Amino acid sequence: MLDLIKIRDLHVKVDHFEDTFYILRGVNLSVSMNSSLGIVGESGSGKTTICLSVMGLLPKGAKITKGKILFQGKDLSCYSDKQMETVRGKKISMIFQDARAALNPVLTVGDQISDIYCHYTGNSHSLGMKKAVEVLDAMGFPNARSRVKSYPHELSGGMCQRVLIAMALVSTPKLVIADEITSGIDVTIQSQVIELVKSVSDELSAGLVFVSHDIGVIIEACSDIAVVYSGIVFEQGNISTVLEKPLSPYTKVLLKCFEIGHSDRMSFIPGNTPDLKLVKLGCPFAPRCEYVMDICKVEVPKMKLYEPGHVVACHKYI
Amino acid sequence: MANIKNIKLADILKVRKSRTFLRLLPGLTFLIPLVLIALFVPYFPLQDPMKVNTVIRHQPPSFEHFFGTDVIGMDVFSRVMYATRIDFLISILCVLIAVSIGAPLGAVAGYFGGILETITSRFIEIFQSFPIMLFAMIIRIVLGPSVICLAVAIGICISPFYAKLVRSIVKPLRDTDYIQAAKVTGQTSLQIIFRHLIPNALPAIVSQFTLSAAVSIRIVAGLSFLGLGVPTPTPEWGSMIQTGAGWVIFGMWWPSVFPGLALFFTIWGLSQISQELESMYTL
Repeated sequence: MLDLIKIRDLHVKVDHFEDTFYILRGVNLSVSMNSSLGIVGESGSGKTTICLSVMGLLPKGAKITKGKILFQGKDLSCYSDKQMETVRGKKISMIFQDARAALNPVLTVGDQISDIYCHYTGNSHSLGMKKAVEVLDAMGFPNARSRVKSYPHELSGGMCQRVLIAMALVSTPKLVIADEITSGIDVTIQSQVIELVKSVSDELSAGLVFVSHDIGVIIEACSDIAVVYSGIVFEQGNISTVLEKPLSPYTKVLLKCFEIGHSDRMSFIPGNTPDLKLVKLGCPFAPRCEYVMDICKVEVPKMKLYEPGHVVACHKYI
Repeated sequence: MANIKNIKLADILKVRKSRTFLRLLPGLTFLIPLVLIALFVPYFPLQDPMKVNTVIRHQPPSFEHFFGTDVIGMDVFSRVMYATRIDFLISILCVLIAVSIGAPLGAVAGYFGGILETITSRFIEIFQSFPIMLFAMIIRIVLGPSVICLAVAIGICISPFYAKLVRSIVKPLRDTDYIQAAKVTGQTSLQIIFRHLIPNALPAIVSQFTLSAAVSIRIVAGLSFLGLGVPTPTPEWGSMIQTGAGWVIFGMWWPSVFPGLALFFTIWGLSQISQELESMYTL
């Protein structure tokens, strides 16, 4: 299958006053057309940084030091801001975590959707408003015709999330990045929102990247899964294969945490996530890994194809 | 202590709301009549404000001439009324010019930050370190003698204030999610500034309108008093005070005092309202 986006050996570091943080230490990912990839990882593992570097919106001080982001064969990491403006929205679009904060409080939701629509199609504002009603209607927005005139604070969290999805998809992008979109909303609405994002991106035949720390959400939403830890992708593959036969030791223990165990205590991974300030030589999971070998402490594992559609980065499989 | 706890936030807000109008009342009692006069003065049965009649010069206030007549026999009452119009018009123009220069400048500085912001801010500070009257005089002399040039000169002088205000509002908004989201959807910086950032600054800008209107009326009158404002035959408070000023020591107080009072009440009303609006905006 053709790769829509391919990230190769991406390194990102952040200079913050005197300190330097190594956020990404060689990320390898690929999303093919029409598929959906779920990125799962702990807090601070670099999930959001991956998304932001794809969008070219890394915060001040953060810098891509190495690696490539190939989108439809073109390297986005060396694009200028002006060039990125043609990619953002039109080709890659992103849905933000906190829906209410991602909407401008002084503009009506209809205005915000139609702004984007008009920006890409060059249509008039009134046509844009019609389109906004249409899109919101298609998303199961109750009373869309009158609700387009309301301001973000007049809507509930779930509705704001829908507006945000409408904004991200009205420009018919090729790739949609959803950054923890379910974390702010009620569990009952969660699955509705996931279904909505899935169905709309299917309709556009767009690739979907779904970032979450909740494996349950990813299982529901995605066809592929990538496991990120401390700026390294440990494993990527079809979701059923990875769940049935996890290869990386980290994936194994992570999945164990999600299992409903027979004992009263939840299982956990002993140890702490590594300090991002330090330049570690070996595998970042080595201090907590039960299969640790000598080579793990000196060399970062490389991505290796284990079976078709299932890659793993671990010294155990070399 | 118990009593304090029992007061609910809603009650406080209710009280505040009910007092909103009362707080604006003193300013409005002077301002509303003045605005009405400015709007409808040509329809009033007044004497021609520019009609010179040397036969009736230096007449004290009477029923025929409420505010008396001035040195060349023009009716002071009618001139004070007509001056309302030109003074309000110039001040509105000044404010609009100031906002349209200052707001984009501040938004650009606040949004882009870095060296651009430093340069703009230092430039604004240099601007503001001049006495505003002196600066308006210089620009007015350079631009030339017309009402529009006067408004532009004063507008330029007031604009740094708006630039600073907008910059301070835009700066923290730069990193909010919705600006990031707007970037993600591929909108250009110009679109973000004018569509997203400036509308967010509008409440603050509007609440400052009245204050800068007061300031600009003061400067217009001041410049006219110095002979740099509105050309003399046109009725204007500042120039009327100036023409009457030389005669006050001879006991002819009316050509100066009445326009002075009009000026005083206008500026006082405007600053009163702006003060109340500002405290309402911050609360």
